[in-house]
Amino acid sequence: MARASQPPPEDDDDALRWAGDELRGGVDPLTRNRVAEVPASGVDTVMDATPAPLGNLARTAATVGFAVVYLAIVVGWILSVQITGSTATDVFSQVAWQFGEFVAIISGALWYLAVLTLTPDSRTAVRVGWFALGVGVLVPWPILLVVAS
Amino acid sequence: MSKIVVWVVFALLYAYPLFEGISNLIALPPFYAANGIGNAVPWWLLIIGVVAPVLLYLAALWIGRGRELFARTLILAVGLATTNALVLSAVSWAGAVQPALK
Repeated sequence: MARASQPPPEDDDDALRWAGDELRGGVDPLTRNRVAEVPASGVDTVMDATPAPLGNLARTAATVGFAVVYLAIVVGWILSVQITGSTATDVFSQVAWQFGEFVAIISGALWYLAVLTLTPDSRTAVRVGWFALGVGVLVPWPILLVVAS
Repeated sequence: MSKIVVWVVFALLYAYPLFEGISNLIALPPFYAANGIGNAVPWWLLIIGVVAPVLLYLAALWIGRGRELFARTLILAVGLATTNALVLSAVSWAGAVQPALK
């Protein structure tokens, strides 16, 4: 089946130019967003980005490092809930127990995300303190006790 | 208004681990006594089971004060997850330190 006649291919860039731009000496959106060619000499290349403060490096390192630790905590809790079990027989207790196991699994991820989102402007020590507190509280003891025994 | 709804919903969610903790505190010592290990009751674990839900709920409310609703809810959720993790840890510790039944 023949398709409806399509408009001839044209220069897509035309849509981003106004007629007369060149005459007015204006800069059209297309060329404005293009990276200017680096001059061959390279002498008058100016860095306009300020280098990141040194404190950010430690902050980023802590944030990334604790991400690994919290990932381990989540894995630890996934393993932990395999070996904990409820002796309850009624449906409500079983559902409540399952819910408890589920939130224990996501506890590490929740704690990490909460610290990440709620301490954007805090000092690095404050952020690290909250991270460290979570690691201490959320130790996946069920699996550790089994491994240790 | 929505703030109060969040408080109440999370109060109910924290209430179950609290109920578990209280029932353990009531039921475990007689069970241990009946099995001849009455002096090995892990009191500190039983106390954690009762205190942790209350303390973490109040702490989450306190940390979240003055923040927007999303932050309050997130903090309460973190506290709830932490409560349940602590309860499971306490249960596993109780099993680990329990002497053989006589």
